[in-house]
This record gives sequence, structure tokens and C-alpha cells, in this order.
Amino acid sequence: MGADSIPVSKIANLLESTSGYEFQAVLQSLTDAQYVNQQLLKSELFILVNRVLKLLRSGDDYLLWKGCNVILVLCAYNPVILCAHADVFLKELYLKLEKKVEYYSSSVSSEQGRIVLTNLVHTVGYLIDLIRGKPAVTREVLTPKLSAIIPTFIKLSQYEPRLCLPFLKKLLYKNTNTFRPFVNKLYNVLVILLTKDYQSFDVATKRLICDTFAYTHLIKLNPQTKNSSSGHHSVRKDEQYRHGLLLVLSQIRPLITLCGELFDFSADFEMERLVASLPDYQGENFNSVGFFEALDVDMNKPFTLWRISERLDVLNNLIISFCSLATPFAIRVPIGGISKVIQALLNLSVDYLPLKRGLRRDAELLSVIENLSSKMQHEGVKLFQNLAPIYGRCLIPFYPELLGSLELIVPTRKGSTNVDFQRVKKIRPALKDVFELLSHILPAMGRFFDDGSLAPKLVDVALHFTKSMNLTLSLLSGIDQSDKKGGSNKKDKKSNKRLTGSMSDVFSHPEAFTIENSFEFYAFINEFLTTMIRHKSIPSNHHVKITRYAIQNATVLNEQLNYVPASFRDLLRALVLCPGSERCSILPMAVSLLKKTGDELYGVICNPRLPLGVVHSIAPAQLPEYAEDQSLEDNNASSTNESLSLEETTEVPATEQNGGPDATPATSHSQCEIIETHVETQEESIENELSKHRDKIFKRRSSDADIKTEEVSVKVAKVARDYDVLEEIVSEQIDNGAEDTIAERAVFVEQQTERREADGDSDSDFEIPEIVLEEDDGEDEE
Amino acid sequence: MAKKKTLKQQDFQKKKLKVGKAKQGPSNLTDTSFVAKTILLPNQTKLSSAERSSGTRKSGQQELEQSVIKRLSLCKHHSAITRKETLVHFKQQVPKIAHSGCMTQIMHACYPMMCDDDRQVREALLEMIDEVGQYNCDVLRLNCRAFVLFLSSAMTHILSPVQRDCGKFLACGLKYFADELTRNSWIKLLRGMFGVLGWPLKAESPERNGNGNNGNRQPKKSVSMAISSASVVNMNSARAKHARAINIDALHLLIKCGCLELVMRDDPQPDEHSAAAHNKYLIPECPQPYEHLKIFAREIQDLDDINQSASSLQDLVSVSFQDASSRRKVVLHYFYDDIMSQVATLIADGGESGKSANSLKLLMDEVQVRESESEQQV
Repeated sequence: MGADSIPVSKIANLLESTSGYEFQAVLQSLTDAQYVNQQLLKSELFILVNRVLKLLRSGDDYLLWKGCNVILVLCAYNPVILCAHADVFLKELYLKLEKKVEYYSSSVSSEQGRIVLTNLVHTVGYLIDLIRGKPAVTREVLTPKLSAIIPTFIKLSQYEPRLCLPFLKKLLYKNTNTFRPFVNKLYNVLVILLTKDYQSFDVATKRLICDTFAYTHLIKLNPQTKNSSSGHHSVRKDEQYRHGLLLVLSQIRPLITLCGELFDFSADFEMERLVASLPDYQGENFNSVGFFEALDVDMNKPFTLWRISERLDVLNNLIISFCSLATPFAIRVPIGGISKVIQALLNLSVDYLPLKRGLRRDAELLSVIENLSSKMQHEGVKLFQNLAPIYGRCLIPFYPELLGSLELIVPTRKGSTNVDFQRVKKIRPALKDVFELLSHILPAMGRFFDDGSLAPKLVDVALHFTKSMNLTLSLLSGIDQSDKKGGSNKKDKKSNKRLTGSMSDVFSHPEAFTIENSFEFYAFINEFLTTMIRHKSIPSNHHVKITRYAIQNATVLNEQLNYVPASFRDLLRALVLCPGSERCSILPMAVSLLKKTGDELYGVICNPRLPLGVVHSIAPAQLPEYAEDQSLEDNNASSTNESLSLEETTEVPATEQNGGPDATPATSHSQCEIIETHVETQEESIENELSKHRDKIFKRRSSDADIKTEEVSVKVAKVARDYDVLEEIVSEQIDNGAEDTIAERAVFVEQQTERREADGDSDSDFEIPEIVLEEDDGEDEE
Repeated sequence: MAKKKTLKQQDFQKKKLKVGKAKQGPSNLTDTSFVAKTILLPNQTKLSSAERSSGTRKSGQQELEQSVIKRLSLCKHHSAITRKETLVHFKQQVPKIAHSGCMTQIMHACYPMMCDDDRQVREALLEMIDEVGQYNCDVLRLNCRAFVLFLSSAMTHILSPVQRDCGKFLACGLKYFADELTRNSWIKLLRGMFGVLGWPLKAESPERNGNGNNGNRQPKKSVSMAISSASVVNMNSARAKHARAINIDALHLLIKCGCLELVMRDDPQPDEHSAAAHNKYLIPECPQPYEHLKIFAREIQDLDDINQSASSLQDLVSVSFQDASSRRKVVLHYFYDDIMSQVATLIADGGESGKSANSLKLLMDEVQVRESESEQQV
């Protein structure tokens, strides 16, 4: 006990009476490392532990709560206490918990009771976690107690799944063997949750239930009755797990077959084939008795049709859980079967499947069927969307079929392939999921897949979503037809007014009834569009629309918010880097939009510059050949005929004479302008010119060549007069990029060097003077 | 004798209507008739030149420009000879003023003469445009929209000679600024040329049942005025046939420039307009590079497509055709069948038109090949 830390006995005395801020301070001070001291065990810490136990044993909720918190802090930060006293703590906590669970309804009658219960459960759970990694403590403390704790948890999870299931899940995963006797009970509890109350829980709880259900299959329940013939095969570890997964999967086929009562599958040969090939594991070694009860669907009561999609939702979540959870062994997932399921679900589209002949065609039934089909498609998308991140590469062989089916989700107008925007509004959540899915898989797909019209349709839909929804549109468009009635009496007018209320706002201020999109939604759409632009070649029409949307909205938002949101910045970047078939990229617009914050990418494009260290690191030995190549290349670029004439080759040095002092690496444009001017041929020898401007040429060349070999090749193109050979090489240079340009240049250089030697000019005049880089750099930066 | 009426009853008395005379108007009638008169001042110069003459020194160039501008009003002279003379004068002045600022004004004044009645005026205009293109084709590029406007009005003109000359103007335009033309007004030009040649378009008919194949119903043909009754007499004249060959050649050139991504001119100057030398991040070579984005233009938006458009081709007017691939697709989808059927009959007839038709047919095959190649590449 050092002088810094509060004496433990004092704290122990304080515990019972503190509350509020003081309690928080006490807890903080308990984390002090000073208390980790075995000598204290017998004296001070013993007192502390006793006090804590007294808190626990008291009947007061508040004291219990304090006790739990103190235990957690002590055990988390003090290994001494953990190892010595965790036993006692756990026992006490468990006793309390059991009592609370037994009288569950009275414990949660008050808010305080509920909080205490939550706290107790958490404390027990965390304590178990803390003990878990340490072998000795585990052996002595945890293992005997777990068999008592688990049933309590299971019992509580009936009422509080959100609270208990995380811990049960962890216990199932980590302490599988200990769990074995209780797994059936848990299974039954979960089955009840899945079948009866599933839809009343929130999304996180639903996921928890399905995950825990999947984990119950980690334990081998029923040892497989081994056939004598196949008895020698070793049983794989994932047998039970796979069994569960297949069971769930095979429940889907009957559902889709049920939909066959609504849609006429025989009209579409593909659909029939697909439904026939859906996974159905009725073979031997398989008990396919599902735990779901039979669906009760009555076509005379159309709304019962929604039970189909409700069931499908549960099955979907189960499949996702089975396939996405971490397991201690490798599992065999029937990807092909799942892909068929996804396809079948996506194909249930009202546009492409006719309804069955004998159906009563009343409005209610038809509208529910349409609604149902869009829900089923959404389920298909959800399944695809959740599996793609996990099994992405494995699904690639199935992508052509899956994406083909995915296209069906966009509603089209009757008879044509144009998108029906009114129905698109209805299935907005589904399309949102589709966008997310595509943002994920597009980068991995490459250009091998030509999915035709899916991309343009989705771009259209995405851009449609960005417009704010005007709810009164249908009212405004119908205004012409409704006001043609003649004048009515005063009495009628008054009664009408009472019935319709004050509708004038709808017509005078329609803009007040719009639903604007949130920022998150914009971010979402922008991410999708960015991925689309980067990874797909979309037709120019859509490219233009996206560009316009990006620029307009970015400008508006810039003015309103004084900055451009991040998603728009990414979209602008993608548009600048991938201009598609435009003649000129939107670089100037993007730069001016992002003037305040700046963007490194645009900085590099607008002002290409060498990183500072590179120039100094060129070894002197490499310099002469490089300079010689470059100077020869200058001559080659300027050569007008295949047969070199000295006069004509002076053009380039002369132009560079003009351009030399002024040109900087950045202003390639000015270089190009200079070269365009017609230069008179000179009688002087090239060598004198070259030797004068060697430094400048070399400087410019080195900086250009490293950064923008494209610029050089542009310069080459502009200097070259109409000569087929040069033009071809130039066009190839632009297309192929840096490596090829150097290769081509090298080839050309070789050809020309032969001719140069034939000219008879000696190499003596090509002595390269010593280049002192520091000075030149200084000049260069001016 | 009428009874004397009280004042109150007099208010409600109506005047008797008299035969042959108009009904008497109400007592508070305001006469809103007016007389309009026009004054012609043929000898007065344009007002804008008055500003320019306020400068102290006039260089020879400025004088030249002013004299040219003074003549601009002559473009609307009632006499065809005067108009022709004006155009010839302009053509002579072009080498000197090709890069000056008055060129836009001149072009805007001259383009309407594409729809002129007189043949010689049109020929003179053609030569002038050619001359301008040789010296400064950027002016033509800049005024591309005006060019297309008047060209399309000429293509749908009621006078058949005006229509027949369209091909020459189109060919001239394609020679100098094919890029702009094909990018901005692809559908318009194609439809116009079909109208000029008198070929009906199946795609013009509204799709009711939505089938792309309208074979069962009689398609509503797009009637071109070139085959109106007045001109039936001279449909087979030599001039008409020659014009038809020229128009087919113009169509051929249009499709070639639009679909096959070729460079039009071989410049003795460094080839700034070719795609190879064109770097998208440098300062653009073409004028108005962002015009197609229509950022500042407000487009008419149909309310959620409540009304279906009249024809499928009409939908495409608002679609931008910046890339050759979509142009090719449109040609192959909407125009290919019609071209092939018409071309077959023309080839059978033979003669000048037959030759042009044959080359057009070969071109269409090449476009198809190119499209399938590019699809495979993607």
C-alpha cells in the first residue's frame, strides 16, 4: 500500500454508503495497480471482499447493483483478487441470479429491478469471460459452476433474448462440451422464438436468435446411425452443422412451389427448370422434419399471402447465420444450391411471369401478389447481399446467372424495357440493397462480364432516387379533370368543405410536401455511382447524366454548407480519373469546386512534379547514355523524312532554344504552343546548338520523362509532321503507356543511331559537360 | 307611341337590331385597332458599327471588318443576285478576316440562306462555307448549333430543291467539324437525311403494344416532302438523280464519321484534332467542351413519364451520343433495316445512285462488324 493510493480498508468501509459521483470515483480508484499485491490478500483485500459479499447478499437492489459493479472492476483490474476470490463471487452472483430468474415477473416489475437484472446477467457473463482464458482458475471455478449457470441463462433467454443470447452464443462456441447436456433445451427455446414471436423483435435480436440457433448445431446431438456399408467413412466434424443448414435450405423449395400456385411457371421453361433443381435433401441419413409448422394461406383472404414472405424472411436469416458464423471446424456450404435459391427468388417477377389462369382477377389479390413478388425478390437480394462479402470469390462462377436474374428486380413498363419509375419508388429498400451489393462485387468482377442493360438501368434508377420526392405530384397532374364540374349550390359547397378540409395548401404550396433525401442516402447513391464509373464502361448518355448530377449537386451543397461532402468528392474524383468517352475531363470544374480544401490528386495532375529525393539519386554513370539518347530522340522526333537531313533536324533545337529558358516542367501546354510555330531551318551544325542547350534539354527531359512520359509523347506527336511511321508510333505510345514509350524510343534510337554514324559526324562533339545538379535544380525551380 | 318609360325601366331596354348593320357595342367599348407601318432605310448602316467608328485610329483590318459588317444586311435583300454577290464578296474577304471577331456575325447572317429559294445563292453559300473551313474551321465549330438548325430546317423545307441541296451542306460540314456534328445532333441529322432521301422510317411509328417488330401493323410512314405531288414530275430528272446520289454520299459520310471513329482531314499542320494527340487533361482543343453536359439548361421533364412519347425515336432526342458505341447501336437498331431495304432497290436500278448505294451498303456491314468487335472487347 503506497502513499499514493487510498487505503483499501477505508474504501471497504465506504462501499456501503457511497452513491453517485463518489461511487464512480471509488470505482476508478479501485483500478489502481497498487492493489495488486499478494501480501494484501490476507488482510486488506480480505476485508474488501467480505464487504463486497455483504453488498451482494443484502436484499437491497441498489446495494446489489453496486456490488456487481465493484466485482467487475476488481476482477478486471486485479488478477490477485480474480484468482483468489472469483470462486466466491461467482457463487454469490449465481445465487442471486437464480432467485431473480425464478421470480422473474416480480423482478422486472419495476425499472430498477430490470436494470439490476441486466446488470447481474452482464456481470456473470463478463466474469465468465475473464476467467475463461486462465487454465487453473477455469478448471477450479468455471467448469463446475457452468453446468448450473447455463440452465438459468436458458430459462431467462425465453423472456429476455436480447440480454442472454449473446452470452449463450459465446458459451456455445467456446465451451461446447460443457453445454452438451443443455443444448436440447436451448434448441426448444429458440424454436419457440423463431416460430412464434420472431417478427416482434428488432433486427439485432433477430440476428442473435438465428446465430444462436446455428451454433446449437455445433454440438453433435444424435450420433449418426452408421450404415454397415459406409461405416468405414469417418464422420466429418461439420455433419451436424451441415445437417441444420440443409434442413433450413430444403424448406425453401416448398415455399417457392407454393408460389407456383400464383404464378404460371410453365410459361417459362427456365423457371421450371430452376424450381426443379432447387435443393431438396430428402435422401437417406437425413431427417427432414422441419420444426416449422405448415403455412396457412388462403387465397380468399389475400393478405394471408404475406405469410409466405414472412416465413421466407426467417429462413433467409437462418441461412445467412449458418453461412456467415465463425466455426471451429471447416464447413461445407452448398453454394450451388444457395445460388439456385437466389435465382429462383429473383425470378419471381410480375413483369415476366404471367399469373396463373384460374386466378380470380380482383384488385386486392392482384395487388397483394405484386407486393408479395417484390418482397420475395427483396429476400433474394438480401441473401445474395449477405453472402457476397463472405463467399465473394467462390460465387464468381455463378455471377452471370445471378446478375441476369438480378436485372429482373427493376420493374419495367409493360411490354418495353424502359424502367417504370412509379413502381421503382415502391421497392426503394430493395433497390438500395442492390446498390450496396453491386458496390461490393463490381470491383471484383473485372470487365469479363457483360451484363448488358443492368448497369444503365440501375444508373437511371439511382439518379431518379436523388430527386426529392414530391408527394403531391399525382394530385397536381389530375387537376385538369377534376375542376370541370359546374357551379354547385352553397349548401353543397359547405358540405364539401367539411369533408375535404383545407386542401388548398396542396395546390398552392406543393413544394412544402416534398420528402428530401438524407445525406446518408446521398452518400449511398454516390458510392454506388463511383463504383460504377470506376469499374464499368457505361454508355455516354448515362455518363453525362451522372456528371451533371455530380456537378450540380456538389455546387449547390458547396454553397449551402461551405464544403463539399466526402461522397461527392469521391464521385468527382472518379469522374475526373475516368472520363469515359468525353473529349475533355471535368478537371477544371472539380478543381474550382474543391478550391478551399484542395485535393492531392488534382494537385498532382495539374502541377506534375518530381518528388524531391529522386533527382539527387541518379547515379552519374548513367547520365551520358541517357543524355545522348534524349538528344538523339529530339532529332528523331523532328525528322521530317526517313532520310535525315541536317537542316531539318535543327528545327527541334531551335524551338527548344525558344522554349528553353521559359519552359518549366509544368507548362506542357506552352511547350506545345512553341513547337507548333514554324521554324526556319538553320545552316549551323546541330552539335553547337545541342551543346549550348544540353543542360536545359536534359533537365527538362529528366523531369518530364519521369513524370509524364505522356506529355513527351504528346510533344513528339505535335512536332512530327505527317509521316505515317511516326504517327503510328506516337499513337501507340499514347495508348500503351510509359514502358512502351521507352521501348519504342529505344527502337527508334537504334535506327537513327545507325544513320547518325553514317553521317560521319564524330562523337567528339557530343561530349557531355559535367552536370552539377544542385545548381541546375535551383535554376529549374525558378 | 311608346309609353314613356321610367328611368329604371330604360336601363333594361335593349337596342333593336337592324338588318345589315352590326350590333351596337356596349357603351364602354374601347377601340383597340391600330395601324402599323414599316419604314425601310436601305442606306443607313447598322447601329453597331457606329460604336466602332468612335475609335481614333482605324487599321486596315478594322476597316475591312466594318465594310463587311455593313454588307450583312444585304444578306436579306429581296433580289437573289444581290445576295449572291454579297456571298461572293464575303468569300473573297475570308482569307483576310478568317480569324477576326466578325466571323460569327457573318456566319449567323449567312446560314439562313441555306433555305434560300435561289440555287445560285445556295451554291455561293456552299463555296463560302468551304472557304471559311479551309482557313479557320474553329468558327464553323463554334457555330455548329446554328448550322444544324438551319440545315434541319432545310431538310424539312417544302421546296424540294432546297431539300436536295442539303446533302452538299452536310458533306461540307462533316469535312470540317464532323466531331461536333455527330456528337451533338446525331439523331436529328439521320432522320433529316432519311426525310431528304424520301425513305420511310419504321421506328417513327408509336409503339402501342410495345413490340419492337411492327410487322403486323401498317407503320405510320414519315412522309418526306421530297415526294410531294408537285415534284413527282421531275423525280426522274437528271438533276434529281444526281442530287440523290450526292445525298446518299452525304449519308454515307455521316455514318462513317459517326460510327467508325475516323479522322476527317489530313492536315498539313500538326494534327490537333485527332484522338491520338488529344489529351483529355490538357486545355481542350474544341470549343464549349462542356456544352453536352447541359448544366445550365433546364430540360422539360415529363412528369414521371405519364405520357408516353409519340415514337421511340423521339425518346432518343434527349439522349446524348458522345461515344461512338452508342451511335453505332442506334444506327444498327433503328436505321439499319430501313437502309438495307432501300439500298437494295437502288442498287438494282444502277447508275450513280446505285454506286453510292452500294458503298453505303458496304459501310453498314463494316459498322456492324465494328460494333460486334467492340462488344467483344468490352
